[in-house]
Amino acid sequence: MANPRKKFSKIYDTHIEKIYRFIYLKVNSEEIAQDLCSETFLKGWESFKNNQNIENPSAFLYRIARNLVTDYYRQKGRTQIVSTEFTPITDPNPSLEERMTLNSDLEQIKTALVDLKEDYQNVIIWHYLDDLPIPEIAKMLNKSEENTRVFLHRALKALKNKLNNLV
Amino acid sequence: MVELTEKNLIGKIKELRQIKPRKDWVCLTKTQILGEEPTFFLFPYFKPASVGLIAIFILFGLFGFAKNSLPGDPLYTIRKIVHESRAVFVSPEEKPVFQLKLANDRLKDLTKAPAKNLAPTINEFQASISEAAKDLTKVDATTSNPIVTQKIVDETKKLKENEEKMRSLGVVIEGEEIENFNKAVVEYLIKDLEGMSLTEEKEIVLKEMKKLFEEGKYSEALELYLINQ
Repeated sequence: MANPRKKFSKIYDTHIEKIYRFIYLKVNSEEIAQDLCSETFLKGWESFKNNQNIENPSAFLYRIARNLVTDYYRQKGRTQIVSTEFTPITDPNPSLEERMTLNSDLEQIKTALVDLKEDYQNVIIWHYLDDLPIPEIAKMLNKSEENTRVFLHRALKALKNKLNNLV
Repeated sequence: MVELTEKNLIGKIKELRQIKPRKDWVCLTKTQILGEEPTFFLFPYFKPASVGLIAIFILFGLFGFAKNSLPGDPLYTIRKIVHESRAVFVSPEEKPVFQLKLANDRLKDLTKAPAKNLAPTINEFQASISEAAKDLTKVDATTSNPIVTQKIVDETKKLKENEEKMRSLGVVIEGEEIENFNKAVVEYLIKDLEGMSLTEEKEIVLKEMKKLFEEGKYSEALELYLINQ
């Protein structure tokens, strides 16, 4: 039987970029993405030490990451209740600088993606960025393959609408 | 942004693959989670490139150990390979000297060999002496280099001394290999003497040697030569 450390090291190398990107696209901050990503792998390693028969390491890590992101937003929702005195007054019309940033295609996609509902974000990231096949995504979402295809189609349509609204 | 087709949109999504964590952070986090990579104690900077170097060290180590191995030991094969590879570079004229040296080495080994190594060591000695006899018959004594002849005589002398030592330790090695060697070396020495201008005393020795040779008393003929050397 292979050394668990060696086995998990391989899992880490294979998944670190995907999990980081998955988290980053949800929190839109390098620092927070790093924190949550390292916590994902730390929790993953703790579980892996006790049970190495993890059928699907990808699904296992994404599940941890999703839970951590949810916890982060839950916590953020609680702690972000600050006095309106200190809340910056935001201009509903984006500034020139903001407009320039938004003009970048990449930024537009990112912004639109972050604005989608969580399951739509996940299905787009998993299928188009991380190349996960539909059957695997179906298992992770607990849906049939057919329903997952329909869901992915809807997610893509929703992203397109968001992008059209941004322009 | 121009009106997006589904294909374009998917292409744009894939561009998000540019989002990657910093390499130093990836390495640091891995170390923090899993700890330092375990390294080989003697080689903390163990890398595939070091494998060649380590293999050389191991090889030299093996040669070192094999140097003291005896016939019957697993490492003796390495010692034998070294000997055989050396034999490739020896000229046909010097081959009998080389084989005689090996035979002498085996006799020396016999003095320190434990019981389990005795039989294989004797076998190796007999093989070397047999080879020496064969090589001697291939060398023309009349045209042979006097230095080589002297070396043959010296090694033969050592061989006889070692045999004596073994006899005093209770190990008597007999067999046709030794007899054949005695015959080959005496024949060689007779031919060598015949090609030389000899003193009266040496003429008598040669005559006596020839007589003993014809009678098949090779060992005595050799002894006569060595005594009168």
